[in-house]
Amino acid sequence: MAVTANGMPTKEFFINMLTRDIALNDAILDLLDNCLDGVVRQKGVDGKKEDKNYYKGYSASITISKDSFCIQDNCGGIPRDVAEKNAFRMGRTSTTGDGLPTVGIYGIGMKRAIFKLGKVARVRTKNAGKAYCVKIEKEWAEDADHWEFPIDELDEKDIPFEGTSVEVTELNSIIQNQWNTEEKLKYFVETLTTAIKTSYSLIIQKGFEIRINDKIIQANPVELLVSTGEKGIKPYIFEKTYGSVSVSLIVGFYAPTPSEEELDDGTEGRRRSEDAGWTIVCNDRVVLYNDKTHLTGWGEAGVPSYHTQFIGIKGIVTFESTNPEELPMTTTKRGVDLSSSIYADVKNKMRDGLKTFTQYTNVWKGRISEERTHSKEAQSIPYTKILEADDAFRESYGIKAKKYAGAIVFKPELPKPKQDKPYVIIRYSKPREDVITLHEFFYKDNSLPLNPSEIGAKCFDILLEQSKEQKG
Amino acid sequence: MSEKQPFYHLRPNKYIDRNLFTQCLFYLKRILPIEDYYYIGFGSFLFDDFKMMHTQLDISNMISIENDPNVCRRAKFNKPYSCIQIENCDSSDYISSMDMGDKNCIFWMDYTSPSDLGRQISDFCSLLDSSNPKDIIRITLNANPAALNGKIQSEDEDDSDAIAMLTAEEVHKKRLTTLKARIGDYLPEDVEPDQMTRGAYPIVLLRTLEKAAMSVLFENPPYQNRFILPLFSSVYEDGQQMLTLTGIVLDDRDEAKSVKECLSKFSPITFSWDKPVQIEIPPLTQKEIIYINNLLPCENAKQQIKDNLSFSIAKDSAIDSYISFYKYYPNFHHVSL
Repeated sequence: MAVTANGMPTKEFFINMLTRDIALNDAILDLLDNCLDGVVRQKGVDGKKEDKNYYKGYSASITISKDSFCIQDNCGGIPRDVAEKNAFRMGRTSTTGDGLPTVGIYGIGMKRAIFKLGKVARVRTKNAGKAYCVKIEKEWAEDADHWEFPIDELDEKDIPFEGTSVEVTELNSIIQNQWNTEEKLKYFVETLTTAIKTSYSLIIQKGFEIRINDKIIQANPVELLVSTGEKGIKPYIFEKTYGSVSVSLIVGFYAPTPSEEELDDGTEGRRRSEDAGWTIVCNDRVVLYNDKTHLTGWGEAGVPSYHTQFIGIKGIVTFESTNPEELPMTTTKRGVDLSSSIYADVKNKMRDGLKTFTQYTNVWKGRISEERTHSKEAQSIPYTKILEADDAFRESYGIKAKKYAGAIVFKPELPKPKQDKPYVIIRYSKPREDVITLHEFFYKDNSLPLNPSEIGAKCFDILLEQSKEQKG
Repeated sequence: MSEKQPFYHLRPNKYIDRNLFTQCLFYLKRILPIEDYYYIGFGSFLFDDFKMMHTQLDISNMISIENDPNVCRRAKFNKPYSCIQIENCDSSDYISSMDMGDKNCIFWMDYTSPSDLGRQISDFCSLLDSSNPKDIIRITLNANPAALNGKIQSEDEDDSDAIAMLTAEEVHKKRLTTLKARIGDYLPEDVEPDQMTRGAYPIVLLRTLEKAAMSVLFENPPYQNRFILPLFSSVYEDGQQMLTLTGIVLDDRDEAKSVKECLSKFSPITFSWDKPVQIEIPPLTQKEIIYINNLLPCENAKQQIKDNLSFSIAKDSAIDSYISFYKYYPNFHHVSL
């Protein structure tokens, strides 16, 4: 008999190693992804992209207590043969792709999440009227040879609707430590809520309902500034289909450009919500959120690095495909796959869009109050509405996209300052006390908020006036 | 702490709140060496809290932080005891550079300005981050939701007139936007516009402080044991609605138990983040005070007061407040010097 080396995978690897690569919140998001993929399997792909209420009627409910975790959905359940053959294997085989726009690809999410959380689990599911329960026991991990999980038959009345519940008990000690007091549990729920809002807002807007400990999570819709006139603040838009992947890109201002004071606030470490940056969405799922690094084109190929001057710029790129392996996301679904050739091409457009707006903030630098006349007349509109909109709606906002090379592109012509004479910026600092004295001198009312740059400008104007008078 | 309010020490509701604090420390003195603690606060030039700390609790290590150089000179002139050290610096700078070693302190961040809320909460976080177990932290914030109506962008014209034109929903929405801009991620996820009311806004602030505290002190034994036990919080108004939270930093759950036992008889104590006591004492005459105090303490005091007096002295909530805090009711008298 030939001598061989043992290449068997160990359970240790799946239970202790793979779970290290993922944060707890992300592991729970993986379970939510499974719910959504369930909806896609139920409803099929037809009209997914256009249907604004695609997920309506579907929901997932997460219950967290100090010694158990449970997620329950009504998203169709796991077909019995899938459970027996694939769903509980550690990883997916190449034949299991189903040609649907899901986000699960690797067949690892549910198991990884379970072992991240605890040692014992019950996966109860009902599909096509058949209800059963897959049991993961504590002893499973200790037995190196047997990889099967027992299945118990359930009465179909035990599960009220076609769907799945994953319940984990015997929590790992690290998890226990995070949930063992009421305060800590509350704080965890808070951070999980933030994570879900960040990643699932789009899905919630399309009708999916997510609850944590019976509290419904609200979507956080993203809005961009659009003005109605021919010229004015408008977003940059790019849409193209690459094989099975359709891409929509939109970038623009979500907030007016910051004033000098706001820029200074940023350097003083004042915390404010920074909603700037790129968000990348794959099959409705956010994989990168408000990114401000080279991953999304900042600080490369002529685009400046992110700086508070660009705090108003926000972009969203959505990738949709019936073949999820083509999507530019990493295995954890928490990042973009930079080796994707589709992403490389889209990234050129992302940089092009970014430059349009970084350039805009540059040309208006030092003339913020003049610039504000433009950004203030623009309205905030949910970006989804702009992307979904028909030509007539777009044209009512002066968005006339051009079609070329298989793509739809709209590059806005943003307002420019009147090129009467070039401007320079003057910056200086003076004792606060003295600035307050001048503030009172100019306004005769110390209850008005102090605006140092305005006072500086007034001083300049007065002296300039004087010098002109002397000359005259 | 501002010069614009010369009668700072005469604010009766604040006076009671301050008294509750000293009373709470008085209880804690049974299990903690309060007299050895450092007291750090914003004494301005009146030092009301400092006087109480020194005379009632024997604290002699005291530091007052004052940013305004003029008030600072005035404070040096007015300071009542030699053991008060006055630091002329910004409170954020002070907190970020302070190093107490292993000494314990009682730190009262007595803020007033609503527009600096974001900085105040991040100061609270920095303070917690450098705190020692058994430190006592107290923070006062402006809890007047109307302070969120104002201008968001400095270029905007004053919108106080425009506010009058808006519906309640629109005002609430605007307030929440301002709050979000001021405190960013510290804001709890589930806050809705309809919580931007007088009654609910203090609770939102308390939950914000809880979230901020948890983000710094996430107890994770064995290497990270610190947590904050909230002791009590109060909402009161002498012109502007204010909120105060008092808590103690601990590193041992058993210690939390003994703190709870020690304070079990102290009625304002809730040990919870979001159940503040309301302090809204009614203005009463000497004669009324003596009469009502004769009835107290007593189970159905409010009914008795209403039955025995042929006139109404205050609304129900104010009578309740008086019954809860009559022991701390201030008596201000005119004195000619």
